[in-house]
Amino acid sequence: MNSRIAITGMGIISALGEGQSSNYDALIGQRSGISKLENLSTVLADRILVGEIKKTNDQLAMSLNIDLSHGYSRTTLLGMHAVKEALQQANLTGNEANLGFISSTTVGGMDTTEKYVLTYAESEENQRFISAHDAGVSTRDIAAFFGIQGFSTTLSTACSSAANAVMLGARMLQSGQLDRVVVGGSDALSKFTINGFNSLMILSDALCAPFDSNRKGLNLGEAAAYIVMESERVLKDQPKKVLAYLSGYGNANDAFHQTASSADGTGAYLAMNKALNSASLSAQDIDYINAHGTATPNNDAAEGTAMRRIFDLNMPKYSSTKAYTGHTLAAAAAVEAVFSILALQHQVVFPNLNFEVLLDELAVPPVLEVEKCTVDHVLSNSFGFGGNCSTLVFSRNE
Amino acid sequence: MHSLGVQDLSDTAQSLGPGIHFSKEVAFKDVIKSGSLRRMSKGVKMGMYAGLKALESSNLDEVDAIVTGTGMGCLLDSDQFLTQITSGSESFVTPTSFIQSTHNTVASQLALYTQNHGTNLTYVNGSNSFEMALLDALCMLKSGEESSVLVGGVDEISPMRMKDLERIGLVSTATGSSGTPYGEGAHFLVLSQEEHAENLAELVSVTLFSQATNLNLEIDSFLKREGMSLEEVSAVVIGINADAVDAVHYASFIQYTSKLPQMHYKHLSGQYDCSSGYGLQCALDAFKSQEIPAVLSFNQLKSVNLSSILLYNQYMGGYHSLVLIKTC
Repeated sequence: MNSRIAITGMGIISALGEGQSSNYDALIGQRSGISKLENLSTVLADRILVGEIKKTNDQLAMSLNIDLSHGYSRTTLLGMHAVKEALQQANLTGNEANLGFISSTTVGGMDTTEKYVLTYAESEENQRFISAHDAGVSTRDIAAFFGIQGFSTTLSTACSSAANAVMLGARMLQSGQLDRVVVGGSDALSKFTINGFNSLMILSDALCAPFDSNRKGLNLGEAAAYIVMESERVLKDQPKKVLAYLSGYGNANDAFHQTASSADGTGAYLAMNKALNSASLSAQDIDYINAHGTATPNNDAAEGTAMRRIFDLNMPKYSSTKAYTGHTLAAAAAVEAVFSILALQHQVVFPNLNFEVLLDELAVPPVLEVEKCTVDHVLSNSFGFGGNCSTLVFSRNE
Repeated sequence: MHSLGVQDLSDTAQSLGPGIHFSKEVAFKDVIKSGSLRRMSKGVKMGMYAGLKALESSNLDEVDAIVTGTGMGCLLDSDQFLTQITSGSESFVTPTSFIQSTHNTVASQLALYTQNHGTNLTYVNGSNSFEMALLDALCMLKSGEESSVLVGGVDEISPMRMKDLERIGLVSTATGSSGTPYGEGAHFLVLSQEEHAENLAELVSVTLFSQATNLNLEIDSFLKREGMSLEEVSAVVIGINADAVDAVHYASFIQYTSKLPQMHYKHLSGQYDCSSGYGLQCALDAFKSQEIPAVLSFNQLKSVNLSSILLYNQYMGGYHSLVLIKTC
């Protein structure tokens, strides 16, 4: 990267709660947000555990003063909650000149589609959700809600999506096409994804245990998280508190299999390597890794191998926070960007819950307790179906 | 560049009638191994075919990055999986269609097929997803982050989704009905920093905006950033289709550029999110032949010397894009 990029706001809603402080409190208090499924009706409800936000769509809409005749999906409503907090912290309204919005999602409006698709032939009232299916519409609706008129876009690279939203944001700022940008992702729980991951047999019926030798699979979650990034130029004119810096990024493809990672973690290795190079940092500079760590046998082994290839004997402190939030798909990289920035701000690293036995691919166990320590640089991994691997590096504002 | 759509551009291309129109069949097996082909939906096949053909027609053996756009992604597999979980008791759910339903399937299959470990992205921003892929690729090239990018857009028809779009008046059902003919297609091209005698054109600039409160100003400042004024543009390509509701949003662009030769193409390609790729293909073809074919002419103005073309696309008042290309 030519220059690091300032982060001036962040917003989050996850199974740990709404807002940065409730999420931080849960991380520090070692309180997981994983529970039984309540808001969705599926035959799998009793067989799985999820990171669910315990608010109905109506509750989410009402707390934003949205009339209940809206045609928004849950993905959109969650996104609005997180964007609101991010803009507020950055002291922005959304309609500032040269402010862009880059969102990401995998399910888009699938939660409303699967609820209403069989009624569209008869119910004209429900037909308002037909256009909400489109991934781009969630972005369009969130942008319109905050009066963001200029550049806005959406991407979807499966479970690495939000990391790529951050990277595009960085490119748009560095090329001078934008001065400020809100980047992140939102994904609601849906029967579609629950059944999909279940049919792949990678869901755990117990609390997920990332990097544990006996891990059984992942817990799905839902969340939205966004960060505000601003160029040096506008910050010179309007100085404000910088929470942290984005100092590097890397995107690579594993090119191995549509849903599985290669045994040597090629994609993960390349993404981490690119991110370190782009940040002009060496492996030893990293103080903490917020790993992808989904707790599937395949991911953790591949990621573990790739981390060892990069860090060798100087393995920094690492943990996966998926046991807190569940795997929130497109939003995961944004959720974990917020957690990485919280780690930099509070000089603390978060524990990897439910860990017992170290897997063969790694030589040292993950962080097991809340640890106060010097955290100057955090590396955050997100990998997805289709071999899409992404790594972000965040650095402390000294 | 390689395009696959309802019909190729030719003097005899026909305006599409109401309803949905599938992409023409091609010999997919000529470029995709038959083993892989069996598992692919139409959209993945089209995307792979156009992508591999575009690579083949470029003078590069490999590219640094693959950036794609798709409005609706792998709709057929997605709708198939959706049907499995909504029509029964969720008891006979198989993973195949779920695996292939993710929006990034085409970009990742292209990476897998060509063993490309570089940057890999998929944009899903409605009807400017293709232009978004162009924009980011151009951004990567200009900054030097990448030196060559395979860029493309693909969208496939799913009858189930089309039925829903018909219900809300977006797909036409008869002459004079609301909506417009729908199509499908894949459009891929290779962008490279390298100057080469065989290069088709220069992609100068791309911009996207969500609302057009002052389109004329937006166009002027877009061109000004490239040191150009509207009078200097040789021709424009308009993304207008047969939908009267959508057409309203093109009125000001048509008016503002009325002194320039205007082209349109969606009467030949049909509407789909990445149909703007068909528009770019038409513009490149016009550069090559140095004339605007009668079948594409919108205002019947002839062009003297085609050296730059401005493309404008939007859908229903949203997803605006401007693309500027020049001859090399």
